[in-house]
Parts: sequence; structure tokens; C-alpha cells
Amino acid sequence: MAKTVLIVDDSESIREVVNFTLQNEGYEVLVGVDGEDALKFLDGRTIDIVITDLHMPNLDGLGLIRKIREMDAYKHIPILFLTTESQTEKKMEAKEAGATGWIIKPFVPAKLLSAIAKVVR
Amino acid sequence: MDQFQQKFVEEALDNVEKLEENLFELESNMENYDPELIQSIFRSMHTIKGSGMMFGFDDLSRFTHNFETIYDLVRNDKLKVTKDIVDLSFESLDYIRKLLDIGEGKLTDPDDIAQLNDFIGRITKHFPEGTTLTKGRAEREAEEKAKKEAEAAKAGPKNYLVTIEPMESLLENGTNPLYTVDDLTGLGEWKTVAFTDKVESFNQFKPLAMRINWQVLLHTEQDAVNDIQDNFIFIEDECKVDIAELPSGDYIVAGGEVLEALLKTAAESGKYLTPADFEQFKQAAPEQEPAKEEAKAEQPVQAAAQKSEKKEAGPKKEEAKIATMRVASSKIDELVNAVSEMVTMQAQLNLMAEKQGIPALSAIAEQMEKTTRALRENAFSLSLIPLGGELVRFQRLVRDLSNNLHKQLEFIVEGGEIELDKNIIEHLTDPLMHMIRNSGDHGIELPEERIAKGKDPKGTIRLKAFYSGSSVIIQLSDDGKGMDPDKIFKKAVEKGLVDPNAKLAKKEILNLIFASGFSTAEKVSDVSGRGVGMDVVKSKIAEIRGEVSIDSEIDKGTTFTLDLPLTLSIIDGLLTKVNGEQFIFPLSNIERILSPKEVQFNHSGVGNVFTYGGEQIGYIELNSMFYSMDTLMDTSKIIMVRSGEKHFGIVVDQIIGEYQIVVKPLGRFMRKVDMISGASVMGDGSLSLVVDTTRMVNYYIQQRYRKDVKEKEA
Repeated sequence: MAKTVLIVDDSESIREVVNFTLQNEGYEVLVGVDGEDALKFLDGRTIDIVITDLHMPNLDGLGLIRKIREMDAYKHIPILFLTTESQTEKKMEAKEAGATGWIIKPFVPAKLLSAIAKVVR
Repeated sequence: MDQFQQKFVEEALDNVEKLEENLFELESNMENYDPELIQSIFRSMHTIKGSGMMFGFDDLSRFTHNFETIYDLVRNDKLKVTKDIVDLSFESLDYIRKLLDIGEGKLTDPDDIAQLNDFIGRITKHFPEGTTLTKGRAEREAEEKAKKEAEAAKAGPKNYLVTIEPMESLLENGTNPLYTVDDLTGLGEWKTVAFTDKVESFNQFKPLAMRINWQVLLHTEQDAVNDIQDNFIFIEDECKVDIAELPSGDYIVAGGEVLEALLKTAAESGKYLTPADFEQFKQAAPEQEPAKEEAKAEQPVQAAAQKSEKKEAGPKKEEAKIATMRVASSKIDELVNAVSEMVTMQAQLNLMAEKQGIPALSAIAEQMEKTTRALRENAFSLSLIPLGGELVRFQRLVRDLSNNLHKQLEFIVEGGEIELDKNIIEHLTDPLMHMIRNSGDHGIELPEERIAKGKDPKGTIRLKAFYSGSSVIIQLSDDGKGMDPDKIFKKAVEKGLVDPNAKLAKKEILNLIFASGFSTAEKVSDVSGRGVGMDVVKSKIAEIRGEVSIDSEIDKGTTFTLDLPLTLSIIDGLLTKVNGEQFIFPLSNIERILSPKEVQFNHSGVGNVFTYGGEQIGYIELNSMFYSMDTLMDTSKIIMVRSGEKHFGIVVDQIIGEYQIVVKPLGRFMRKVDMISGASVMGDGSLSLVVDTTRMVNYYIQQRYRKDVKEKEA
């Protein structure tokens, strides 16, 4: 069965590229424009992985990750975050919030897919 | 500029606009601004930077990165907002607009690049002392390249022992360490040992506590320490990873029994392997040939191991596996027969087990049933052969036809790899030959005729085979002159096959060619029309429980469609009872089963019809058809089957269950009963009849049609 990916990013162009890449690979894609918006998808349906940006209005990536980790249905699903900072500080913070891994922007489709393959198969 | 870049530019311009608004707000209150304002500014810039990198706007990203740093500093109270900074920010926005305007996002003119660097310099001037400046992209790339080259320099095969000790909490954040181990094994040849000794006993088992450690032996073509480390990037803080280099040699590929024993001992004892454990292989490395002899003498145990290793490695290389073998087809027939008998006996066993009520016996019966099923499927797959084997004969036939008839014929095959029971293929060849002959002779026109019609002078006969559910469909089509329904009807009337006043649909008229005694050829030609008509084709196909249908369009061509079962003798069936007798429906033909309560019966129209899901569906009550009773019972069920595009219901008194059925043909004197395709002996020795649902539906439609005609005549 096709895996379902929830992508969350406030940048439309990033959403489009990620969405395009994933759909081409046969993933089911759900799209949230920020953390708050993404919560509406977390209604108990099967979501195999969440890919979220960190800097977003309303509810940012860290907040979203923490919220997801509080939900029984999604407590242990893989969450990757998009980051431009290779600074360890931000990464540590996100990992402590419960993220599984990260994808460093900029990324080419192959890099995105290989990062996903590290946590979902 | 591609569509994504276009989108990015639009989005970035929106962000610049938003930034401008925010800056005005900031300017109006530089002393006491809302912290959220700075967050918003930072976010907008961050988006421009991040997306810019994604879409190739490298210079823009670099510039924005520095610009963003200012607000990162402000955000962290390391820099105070001044008029200077706000002015610079406005200027930066204009510059960003300019950078967004350059086609592919990269500056090429040296003057422009100098201007960019200059501007960045003016920004970084505001950074307090000690702020680390990020390197330019070019610099970073160069560094990475140098690093890669350095890695490549460390070429040559290597062996590693990777020890992975995950923390207990590893699974909690969605990490699956198996993927990591799996990725690791993608780097080269490998062996793994899982240490499961720390896993709790079942009653204390905590599914989320990670208690397994691994050791992975890797043989790579070159230095792979970095690649190995990269694999752990997400979990480096949640995993203790130790990478040890092992002595050289290819023992991980061909370690033989010694290595296997080593791994086994490690897994059983729970003691990690150490590089020292591999020292013994070092001497066995192939490049040290001369040393080998000595080693042998000194260490007899190891020498023996080496021998066995050699033995194993030797034949492995030369061993050409026998991929296929030829078997006399009679042997396969025997096997299939034996399996058929076994299926019958299995049914007896099941029944016996049920009656005796001995749990142990039931368990055996169940196990046996699984095995029988597997055996049955296997035996059947053995008797499947690809259609392609017969195709050469057809090809040859078409070629001969071309010459004899002075027509240009092309034969195209699709789906030659489709497999069918060999008994079916045997029965199929003659009818197909006949139909191909017909297409070439009657279907395809002479070249001059085709040219006059504006067609390619070369006619095509196409054979297409494909799977459809549990059947195989074979379509034989030509692009010839097609069949004229009027002509066929006239002919059928002449031959007394049909009432001249009958009103028939096109499909029904076309189907008349399958009636016995019908031949459309105006005169008997050499090739076809030797008295063997389409009726013979139809009955031949019927012998293998297949169906033929026809579709034709004048001047476009004719298509015959054969619907064939995959196998003949054993089917999965649904056992039902009607008036105490047993009837079996092939499971593959059943769409669903309805209770009479779910539908609305409607007896007023012509024939029996009920409404279900808004659809009018014809049905037969078997007890009224076979036993002239028509009482619907409490246990009555409607079995829904599909015939062509139509659904159809068959009402039975009771459903018993699912069985594997060995279908035996009926005696010769019952050949005409075509609604029943065979009979089967059940486990208790009783007989049941196997229903041919397609024929039963056709029978109903014919009956209904006759009733129609009679009513009209009356």
C-alpha cells in the first residue's frame, strides 16, 4: 500500500517541490501550510511519516513535533524536519522534541527520498 | 525558468512585501517592538533563504543568510535595532528584488558579484565581534570536494566490524534500527550478528524498549568509514557505534564454516566479536599464498577449516544451476490426477475429523488441508504452459494464407507469455487455427480492395491474450471488412435458423454464425468453409468450459473473444443445497451473496427480476427450475454472478460452505445438459453438481426471449 506522508511547510514552493517529488514516487501526500493547519490531518488516519519545516507561523515545527508525540496514534511515527541550519543546536532541540531525523535544505529529490527511506519502508 | 522557480520567485516577492510592512512597523517603534515582529521578519527571510537554495538562487541565499543573521542576533538580544540597521534592511529588500529578477538566479557579471560581496560586507560589519561567518557556497563546495578526493585516495578493499548498541529509548521517536543495519549492508558484502540476550523474557517484555545490539561485518571496495558513520546520522546520539577496521582479506565473502562458527558462538554467548577474532583469517588471505602451506602445518585445525572453505567456494562458482527441466507431460497428468484424488480424500478426512471431535485429529486435518492446497496449486502451475509455444504454428499459417490468397497479412501477437493449462491449450489450437483461417480468408480484403477503401493494403490479424480475474481472455481480431448483420440475418432465415419476423439485436444476429449449419462463405473456398463452421469452434471451446463471443463492425473488422478458465479439473467452490441436493458454484464466478431480505422482488414484468442497489437484476430460482417448487425459505440466499457486463442472481435454498472440488465430467449421455459443467464426489461420498453460471445465465436469457416471442405471437 502506498505510504502516506504529511508535509508541513509555510513555503508554497517547497511544498510544491516536495509534494511533486513524493507523488512521483507513489506516496500519498497530505499538505499542511503550518503546524496548526497540519493538526487537522492527525485525526486517527494512518500517517506513515511527517516531514515538517521548523520555522512556521501559528504553530512552529518544534511545537508540532511535541504535539504529535503527545498523540497516542502518532506517538512513535517517524518525523523528519527540514532545516537550513547545520547548527547542532537546532537539531538537538528538534530531536529532543521527538524528531526522528532531518533533511538539510537545499535538497535534490534523491536526497529527500533517501532521507525518507532511512525511516520508512 | 521552470515552473517551480517561477513559483518560488512569486512567493519570495510576497515575502519581501511582507518584510517591508514589518520593517515599517519596526521603524515606527525601534525601542519597544513586539518580539513576535522580529520572529516574523526572521521567518520570512528564512523562507527566502531556504527556498532560494532549493531553486538554484544561490547568490540570493547567500545574501539573505547574512541579512537573516542580523535579525537572529536581534532576536537573541545580541544586537540592538538602530536606524542604521533599518535603513540597511530596506536597502537589502530592494537588492533581494533585484536578485530575484535575474533569470536563473546566479550572478555572472564580475561587477555584479563584486557588488554582492560589497553589500554582504556592509551587512557583516554590523555583526558583533566573535560572530562566526559562514563560508561562501563555493568555498564549502571546494572543501567537500577536497574531502571526497582524500577519501578516494584511501582506496582498496577494507573490512570493518561495526558494533551498534542502541539506547533503550531508540524506538520511541519513530526510528527503526533495522533500516540502519540494512543500509549498512548495502555498502558491501556483509554478515550480521544480532545480540538478543538482553531482551526480557516474555512476561516482562516491553515492546518499546530497544534491547538488541548488532555487530555488522562489512567488506567494502574502499575506505568506507565516512559512509558507515553517515548511516547513523539520525541516531548518533541514541546509539553507541564503534567502527573497527579488521585485517585485510575477503573472508567476509568466503569465510566458510570458520566464520559462521565464529558468528554463531558470538550470538549464542552474547559476547561481542573483536578484531582479534579475525586475526586467524589474516594468514588465510589469498595474497599470502606461500604462507598458507606453513600455516597448514602449524595449525591443523585451521587447515581443515580452510579445506572445507575451499570445497564450499569451489563448486559454488562453477555450479550452473539447472533452471528448467523437461518432464513427460503424462507424468504431470499423473501428478495432477493423484493430487485430485488427494483433494477428495482430504475432504473425507476433514469430515471425519469433524465427526470424531478429536482436537488432535482436527489439527492434523487442518494442517493437511493447507499442504494439500499448496500441493494442488503447485501441481497446477506445473501444467501451465505459455501460449507462445503454439504461436509459431499460427505465424506459419498466416504466412501460407498470405501466399495462397494473394493477400498481404500481418500477424501480431500480444501476451504470448500468458500461461494456460496444457489441456486447454491442446483444445485451443484447432479452433484458433480455424478462426485465423476465417479472418484471413473472409475478413481481410484483397490489397486493391483495401486501397480503394483507403486502408493500408496490408491487413492485420491480431492475437491478444491477457488475464481477467480467474480467466484468460484471448482476442483474435482482424481489420478486414467485418460482418454485415443484414446479410447474416438473411442467411440465417434462408437456412431456417431464425424466424424472419424476429427482431434481434446486432449482437444476437452476429451470434447466429455460431448456430450449427451456418456458413457465410458465398462459395466454398480452398481455405475455409469446408463444412466446419463456427458451431464447431464454439463447441470445442465449450469443451474446455470456455465462451466465445463476437463483435464486428462493417469495414472496420471482426473480433472474436474467447473467455477461458485457467485450469480445468480442480476449483474452489461454494457448496449449496437446493431441495436437498447439492450444487457447487465456482468461487471465481461469484461476486457476492445476498439475503433475499436485501432485495425487492418484482414478479410483474417479463421474467424474474429484483431490484438491488437501484439496479434491475434478473434471477433464477433453482428450486423452481429443477424441482418446480418455488418457495423462498428462511435460509435462502441469492448468489450474485456476473455475465459480461450484467449481474445476475441465482437463488439457492441454503449455503453450506467453501470446498476444494475435483470436477469430474458428466457421462456422455448428459453432454447436452450444459448448465452443469460436471460433478464432484464430496467427502461423505455424496455427489454434487457443478453449476456453469455463464451457461445458466444464457439459458435464462434465452428462455426470457422465447417467452417474449410467444407472448407477442399470442
